[in-house]
Amino acid sequence: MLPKLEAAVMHIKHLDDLSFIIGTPDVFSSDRTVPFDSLVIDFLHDLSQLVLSDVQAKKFPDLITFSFFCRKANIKQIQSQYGAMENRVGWGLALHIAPSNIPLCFAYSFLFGLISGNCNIVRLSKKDYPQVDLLCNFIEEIIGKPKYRELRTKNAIVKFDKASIFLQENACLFDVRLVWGGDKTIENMRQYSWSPHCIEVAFADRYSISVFEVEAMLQLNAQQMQKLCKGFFNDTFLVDQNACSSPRLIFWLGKYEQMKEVRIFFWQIFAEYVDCNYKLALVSYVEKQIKLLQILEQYDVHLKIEAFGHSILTAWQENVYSFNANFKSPFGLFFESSSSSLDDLFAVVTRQYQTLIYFGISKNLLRQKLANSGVKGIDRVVPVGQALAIGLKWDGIDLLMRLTRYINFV
Amino acid sequence: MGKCISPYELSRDEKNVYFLDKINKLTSYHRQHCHLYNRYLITMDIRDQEAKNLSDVPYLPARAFKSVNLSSVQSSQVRSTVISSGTSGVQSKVNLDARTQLKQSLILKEILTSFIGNERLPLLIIDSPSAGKMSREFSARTAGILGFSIVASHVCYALNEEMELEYENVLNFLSQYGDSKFLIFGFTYIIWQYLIQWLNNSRLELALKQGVIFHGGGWKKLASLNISNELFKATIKELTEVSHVHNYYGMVEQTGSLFVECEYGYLHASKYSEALARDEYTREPLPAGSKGVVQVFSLMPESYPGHSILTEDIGCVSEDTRCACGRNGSIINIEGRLDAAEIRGCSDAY
Repeated sequence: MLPKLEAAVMHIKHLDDLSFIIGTPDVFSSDRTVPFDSLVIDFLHDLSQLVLSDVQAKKFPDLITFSFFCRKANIKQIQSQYGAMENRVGWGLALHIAPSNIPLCFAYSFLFGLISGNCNIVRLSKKDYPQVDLLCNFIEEIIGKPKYRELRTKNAIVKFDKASIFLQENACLFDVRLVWGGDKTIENMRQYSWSPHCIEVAFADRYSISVFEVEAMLQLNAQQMQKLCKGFFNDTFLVDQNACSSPRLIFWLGKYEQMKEVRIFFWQIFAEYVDCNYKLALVSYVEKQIKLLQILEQYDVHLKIEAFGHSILTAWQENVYSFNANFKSPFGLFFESSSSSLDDLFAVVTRQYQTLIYFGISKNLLRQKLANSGVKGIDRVVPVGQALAIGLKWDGIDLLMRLTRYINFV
Repeated sequence: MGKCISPYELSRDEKNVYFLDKINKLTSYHRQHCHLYNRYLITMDIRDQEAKNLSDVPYLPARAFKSVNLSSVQSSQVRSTVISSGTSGVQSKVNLDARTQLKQSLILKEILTSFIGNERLPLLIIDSPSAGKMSREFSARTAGILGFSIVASHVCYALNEEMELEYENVLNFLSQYGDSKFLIFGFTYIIWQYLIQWLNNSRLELALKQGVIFHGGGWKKLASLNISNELFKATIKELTEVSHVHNYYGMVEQTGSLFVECEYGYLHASKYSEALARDEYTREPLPAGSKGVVQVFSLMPESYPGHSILTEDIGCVSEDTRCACGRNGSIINIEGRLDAAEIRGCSDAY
């Protein structure tokens, strides 16, 4: 074992630039495995149990959600969707570049890398989050057990500075790289000398929308509308309306007169819910105003702003055809438009559009429309409340398929 | 030499009527001359009608001037551009035409006269000569130096280009002018860093007994060092025996119409300024005396829509017009700054 490690470590330049939070340089000379490795499944399950039993962890809903994902029952259920997978193996060594503003994105990336049978080096951003530190401590505790010794040599969670030339010197060592946006980071990452066979899985800047069917919404009573609004809150304000999956445009599908009525009903109830559960800081409100000014300066667009409660601004756009994915702002600015045909909406959808959050329309109708319309965007179609639920099928890619290679036996 | 208090002589009722009328006219003027401003107000559904109260006057966030181009004059009419120092790296740009530039100087002169009388006085500038250099684009620091230079009979820069105190030059200035009243001007942190610290470290003395200091430019740098207005004043008085120290509150988007600290420590609004506080979360106007986000009004800006600005400063505004100094006008008390926005969601890691 030792000669191999030495040989591997010898040709890793600037290793000192890496600060290992989990794991060791052994990761550079480790062997990949197969998807849904039983050791990995046990590890994830032990991790979930540890987190779910911890008092401190309860303060972080995203940590709890992640832990639920890691449970054996959930992983097994995912596995059953994929069938035998006997011809698939991991690629090898995967590098994960996590975004700085979604604290636990690194953890999901790591998990995808693990269950696909790869060895993983996960780069954390410089930004500190308590739930990140907490989770890393939990991971260290489990992975430090003798049972998981092998996993400890095959995985690492690291930090290294933007200015470091570690990647410049060692990009060729990786078989996969997962880059979680935005567009600038992806561009920066592409400049390194990756091996010609290195698979890139990049998650670019995306844009998401909501489609509300007017007649279906009119059927809701106040209580049902409140439930819908709670789900919509989770899609939006929970992450300052800044996740790529958070809807920015709301498209009302239906007749104009009915739409005018139900829209007020929706916004009023939503505003009530938001005002009880979210505090819009002044600097965030200012950010919205600035974005609006910038849109007005750059585009010859006519918008009509309406405020609901303290935190919501809606920008009505008469003509959906002039809609633009550059019309965006966090902190509660919703663009709105309406028509009686989905075709009008799909005419503006570009590759940048990721998630369509729907209410009151059948999934099958949407499936049919999306397949036949020639539209390049919309990789996810989810009901209200599910916008942020991350999974193996993301941005149009089946990550388990992409992160494994298929050996063709003839 | 009696004190002339004309920019502070309007009673509350007189001020209310006078000021609201002028501010409304400015809103209307800028709607006509700044296309983006007008479109923005139309978009926000703010009707083109006179506001009945100051709190109904539409406002722009101070940061707007960092992000978009807001000008009510043609580019050919722009005489100069004042840029902010900007801690975030992005600068505010405010275009002045000849008329606004003149207004700015006249307003400042009128305010200062109320504190130092009609005579032009010798001025010691606590900064380097290049900071006072006039060019097409200049900073708030330069704007301040130039503004004060206008009321001066003679100007001397206390620091060299390396920001070191030119002790001999200052002694020379004092030997000529130090025996009667003279002015001292500088940005707060520059006075602290390059005059006060220098005196502390060098153990040399400067007797500024007849000096009247005007300083401003923000407390952010000093607040992080735990230096308050009181400590600043006490320290400089102890080290130099200077007779009067006047802090002022102002910003690049409303130069000239400063809120100057009176002899009793209160920052007064002149007849060219007003202020109110808004709730941090609901942005509703607050009653006088309540702490909130400060909005400032100025009659100075004609070449850009800067007459009504929401700052990111926390403070309160009181309408008490019975200050011992004899000045009328709202009193503003700035307590700190709002924190920068923390945002969740997807973003660049690099």
